[in-house]
Amino acid sequence: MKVICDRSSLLEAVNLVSSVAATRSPRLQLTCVHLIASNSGDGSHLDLQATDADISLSIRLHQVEVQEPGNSLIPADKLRQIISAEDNESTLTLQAKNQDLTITGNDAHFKILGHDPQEFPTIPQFSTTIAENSASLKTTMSQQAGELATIISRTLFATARENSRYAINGVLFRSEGKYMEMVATDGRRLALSRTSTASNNDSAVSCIIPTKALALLQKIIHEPEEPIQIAITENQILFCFGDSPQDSHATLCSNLVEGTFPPYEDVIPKDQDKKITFQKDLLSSAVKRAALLTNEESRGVRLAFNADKKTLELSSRAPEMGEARVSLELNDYEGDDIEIGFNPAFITDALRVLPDQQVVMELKAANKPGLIKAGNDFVYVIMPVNLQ
Amino acid sequence: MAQKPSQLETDLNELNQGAPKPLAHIVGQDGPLHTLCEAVRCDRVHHAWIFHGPKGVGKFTTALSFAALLLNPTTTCTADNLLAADPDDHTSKLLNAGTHPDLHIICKELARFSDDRQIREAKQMSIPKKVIEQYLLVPASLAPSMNTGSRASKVFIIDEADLLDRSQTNAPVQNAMLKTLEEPSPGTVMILVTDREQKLLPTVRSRCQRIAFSSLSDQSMQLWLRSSGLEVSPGDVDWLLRFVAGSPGEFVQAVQTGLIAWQRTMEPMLRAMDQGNAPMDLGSTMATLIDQWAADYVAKHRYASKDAANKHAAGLMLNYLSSTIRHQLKHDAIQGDISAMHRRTGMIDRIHEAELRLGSNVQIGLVMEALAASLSCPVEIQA
Repeated sequence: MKVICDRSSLLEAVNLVSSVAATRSPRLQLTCVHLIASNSGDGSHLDLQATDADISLSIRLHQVEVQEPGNSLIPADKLRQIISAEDNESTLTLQAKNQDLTITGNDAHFKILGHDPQEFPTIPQFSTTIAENSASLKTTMSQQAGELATIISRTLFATARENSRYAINGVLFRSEGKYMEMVATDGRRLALSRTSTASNNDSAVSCIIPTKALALLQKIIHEPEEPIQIAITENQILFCFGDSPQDSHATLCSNLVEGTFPPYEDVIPKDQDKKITFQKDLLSSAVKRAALLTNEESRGVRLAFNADKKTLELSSRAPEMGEARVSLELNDYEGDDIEIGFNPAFITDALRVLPDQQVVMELKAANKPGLIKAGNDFVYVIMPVNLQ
Repeated sequence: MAQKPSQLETDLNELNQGAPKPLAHIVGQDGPLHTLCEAVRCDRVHHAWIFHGPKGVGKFTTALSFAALLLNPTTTCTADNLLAADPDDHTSKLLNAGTHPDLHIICKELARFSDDRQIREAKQMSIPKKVIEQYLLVPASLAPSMNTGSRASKVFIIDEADLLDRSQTNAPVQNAMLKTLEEPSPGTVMILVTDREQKLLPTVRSRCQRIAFSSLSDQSMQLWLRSSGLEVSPGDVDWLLRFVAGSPGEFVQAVQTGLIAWQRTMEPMLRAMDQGNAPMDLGSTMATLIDQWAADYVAKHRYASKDAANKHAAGLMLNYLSSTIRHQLKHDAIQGDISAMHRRTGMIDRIHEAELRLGSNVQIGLVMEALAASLSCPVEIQA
């Protein structure tokens, strides 16, 4: 294999695939990047592939000149370090010989000891997966990258971490009719984001996607208008970037999380009788300031709404530290007075991912969950904190 | 010129533990094999198993073969009431190459690949919780990579499951596994392999179907030896068979790690001790042999820990002493020498005490010196 690559696009691709490769593994192939250079009908291209056995990523680079087709299996960390360090070069030459790879710039020459490319596991490809798994194929659909990135960012932060209920360590993906939605929860809050899709699924399809796969998907998305083809089988989900699988520049495949996601629709309250509209930045600032005097033991911030004065007073108190009080005038308030406690981080986490300037908070009682809404496609449920 | 490290490949193969054997090649374990085959035949494969019994009698070998048969969609019953799979099937090839993505083998050496430096550098005297999380609990929560329609979609084998840390001061690993052991996702099978089943929590044992493996009979050992292809001089075979007491795994280890040399060093010393001329350097010789064995083992096994190897070698030395004394005891019984028999049983008690000291982490050199001193003393004086 001999290929001349544009360094910046190569670095971007190597950074992405390296984040999939395992840092340490008893299976050496999983710590490597598989490079495949080829000249096909649509021109020269270099494929970079990596997998950690559960998630695999394949990136196709077209900014290359393939002088000799071939493949090579190289440790991901060294490949990334070298390409990153060669920051004075506009192009780099990669040449494989006897399992080893030489990287040559104007004034530097590196030789990395590689491994037998035959040992690298087969990476699932979109078209072949659909063709070979017709029995287990649940659905295929298409979605704009920007829309997908939005619903991921609005839910990913709410997933559980290190929880023995593994189903809630992932994000529920559900598609029915012309809508798709993602739901995440850690047991104390729940985020739901919904968007429309060009595809039309008559029957509902759902699966739980590992958070690592979605975080990676966010990193790959650059062009909001770009279409992403999605295929879901019994055990895997595939995302293919591009108009069609044939001219795709990236394919991400992930094993799904097994288990049953909690019945989230029952958790979303429907009889809230107090409705407050906030300017997002004002609410975020007030919560952050009130949270300054909370600690591990007293993590809650008290929100006292006064219907007559149309004010909100946020207060916090930490033993042996002090107390804080922040007042906020409300433009719009419907309902009676109420005092309720929330974990301030849960509120700011949600406000951070919302682009809308106006958010609506809906409440029922001090011991009932609160609701934050932005438009018709984002719902966020927070369990209250007992401040007694 | 830079050279590719060839040792690495060998070490990785070592962790993969080799290709699964056909069940028909497993010798002397007819009972366990019958139970496992019946479970498959009746389509009642339990999701959690404990394979327990003495070291080296084929527990792990059987677990690996059983796992391969469960993962292979071509597995069928054979004429001899066993199970077999098509060796040319794609799944069989992956299993033989050790690259099947849904067969997970968990051993203490996986700690060397942990993200946590403290765990990587630990002595490998237990299997830490983070290893179990990374290699069992998280993969068990994910869907399998392959969808072949086999009897099991994922199989996890935990070798030396008795090393699962259950101390109160550290993370209670066995407790962390209970939920997964109780109710894994459909198609998941877990096999715990151990020679010290009592180290597993009752709550773990009660969730598993237990399969007891036993030492091989003399006849089975001879049958195994003929098929093993091992080249051992006839003079050493008798001693080795006596030493391993029905354990093919121990036999292979003794041949491969040079335990025969122990016999040549120790035998004259033990004979002199028996005649009342106990050598002064018996304790230090035993400690040196243990240390050399462990150093050689670590040199050949990149991911092994010296402390774990020391402890293993000390166990081998005590096994060697007890097997020798048992053999002499048998001889005394035939001769009807009651006094000698009394002395020998006292010596076996001393070895047991040394074993307890090793378990309490007393320094190996001190244990061996104390043992040599106590073995050299006539039993009447100790009493």
